[in-house]
Amino acid sequence: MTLANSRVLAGASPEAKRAGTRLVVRRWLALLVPAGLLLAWFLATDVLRIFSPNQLPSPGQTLRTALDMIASGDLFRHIGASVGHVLLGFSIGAAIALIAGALVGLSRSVEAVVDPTLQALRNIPSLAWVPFLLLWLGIDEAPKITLIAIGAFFPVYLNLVSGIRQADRKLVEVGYVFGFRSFELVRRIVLPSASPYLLAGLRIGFGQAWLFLVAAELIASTRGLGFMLIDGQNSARPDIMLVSILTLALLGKLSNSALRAVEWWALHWADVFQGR
Amino acid sequence: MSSSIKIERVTKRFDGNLVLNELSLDVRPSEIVSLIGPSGCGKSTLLRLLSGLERDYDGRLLIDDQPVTGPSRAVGLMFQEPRLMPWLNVRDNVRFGLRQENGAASPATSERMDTWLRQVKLDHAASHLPRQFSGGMAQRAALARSLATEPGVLLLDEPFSAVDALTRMRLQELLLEVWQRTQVTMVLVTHDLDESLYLSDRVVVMSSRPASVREVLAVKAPRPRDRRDPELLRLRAHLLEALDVVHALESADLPNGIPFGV
Repeated sequence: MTLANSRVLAGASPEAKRAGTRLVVRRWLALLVPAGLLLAWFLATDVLRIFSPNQLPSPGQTLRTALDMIASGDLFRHIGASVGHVLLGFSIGAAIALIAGALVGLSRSVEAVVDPTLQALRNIPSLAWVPFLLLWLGIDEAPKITLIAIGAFFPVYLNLVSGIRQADRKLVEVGYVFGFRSFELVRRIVLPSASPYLLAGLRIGFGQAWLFLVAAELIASTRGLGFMLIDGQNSARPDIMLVSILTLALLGKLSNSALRAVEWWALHWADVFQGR
Repeated sequence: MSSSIKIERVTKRFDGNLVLNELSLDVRPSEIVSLIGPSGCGKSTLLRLLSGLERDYDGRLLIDDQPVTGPSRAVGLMFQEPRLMPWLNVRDNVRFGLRQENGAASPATSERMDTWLRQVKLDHAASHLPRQFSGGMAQRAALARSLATEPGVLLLDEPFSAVDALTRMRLQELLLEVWQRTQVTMVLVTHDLDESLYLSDRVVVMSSRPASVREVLAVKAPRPRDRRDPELLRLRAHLLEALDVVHALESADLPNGIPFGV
């Protein structure tokens, strides 16, 4: 990974330099598609006028709205509310998933009791929960947090269970030879083996929490990016809707990158294929 | 730290299939004993029984006159593969069997780990991860890990069969050095006749499944041994013949013959 890369960059051979250049170029490639979309957006609105401003506002209009909302503090108020919802919901969902996933992964009997039901619940779309959560938990923060927690739960749970079941039997046997008891086996062999899966699950679960956020903030909200979306729709302000959507995309991307960095740092030991 | 082993009329079945049939063998403290015999005859099963990984057998298995009831610190087992924890560096792998929290090792433990790492010539690579290792280095780390808990018996299940010939010879030398220092009792399963003759005090020839002891050969040559010692060559010829007998007896079951090395 980095070790290899830094070695590649430190070396002075032409091939090493090419590899280094390739690395930098690849990073900039990520901007290619967004830049293209921005250009198309600009052409479709300001230049060719395929869409009217109340269908699709131009990039300039959207940017002005965003700057206005930043200046008034509205945008950060909404972002703050949404980040709070996501963090709290994700923490609760992931914590429950860790316990459930560990129990199911380690015990066939617990799996037999719990897993079929969870697999059925997993297929309920996020919006289908909304009316019931409103009915059961009122219209305050509780239903929003619960919905996000449900969204975060499943990726973490599913990945942890498969991670535990992928643990190498031969490594577990090493623990047996040293006389480890079950708790020690789990802590020192099974969980570290499962950590690549668990971290991927946490990252996907965090993404899922963002996805469920909008559904959650449709529930009688006054704050948050989901509320901004609905508010924009109700007041016929597509520019506000666009600011909300773009902010969601940006925050989702940022959190994904942050968790990828954590994964990379925690899994530097893995001897894996990293793509060409 | 050298224990005695007593195996008395041990019988083991897997799903009704007889694997070991009333096998008996005594190993003295500090002795090195090799087990050779046809593939799949039950040599590994015997090691797994001794290590406590397999249970439910008939007969008696005693280590230092104590019955084997399960895995114990008194018995180390080295596998054919290194089986290092990929997420731990070499030092943490070597001390894996010790009951210490990672990072909270006492100075005495840490000093002992240094000694082990030096002993297996990995002190320069203590902070490396297993993925950076060759097969020989990984197996050296595994050897240090097995011995760090200071067992009285070390069981070795074809430990050097996956490395090249030169590395194998170096590992054999290393094993003897370690043995000289610790005097640990060793039982070694191998397919390599030269390895068994070079390393052990006695070579036990086992019959095909269900395994029992067919012949026990004492290797009297003094250490350090010369691999071309006429005594070893004579024993080698004898072993080949003995195994041929085994082979002839079961050639109907094993059409591909017996994969004995070199």
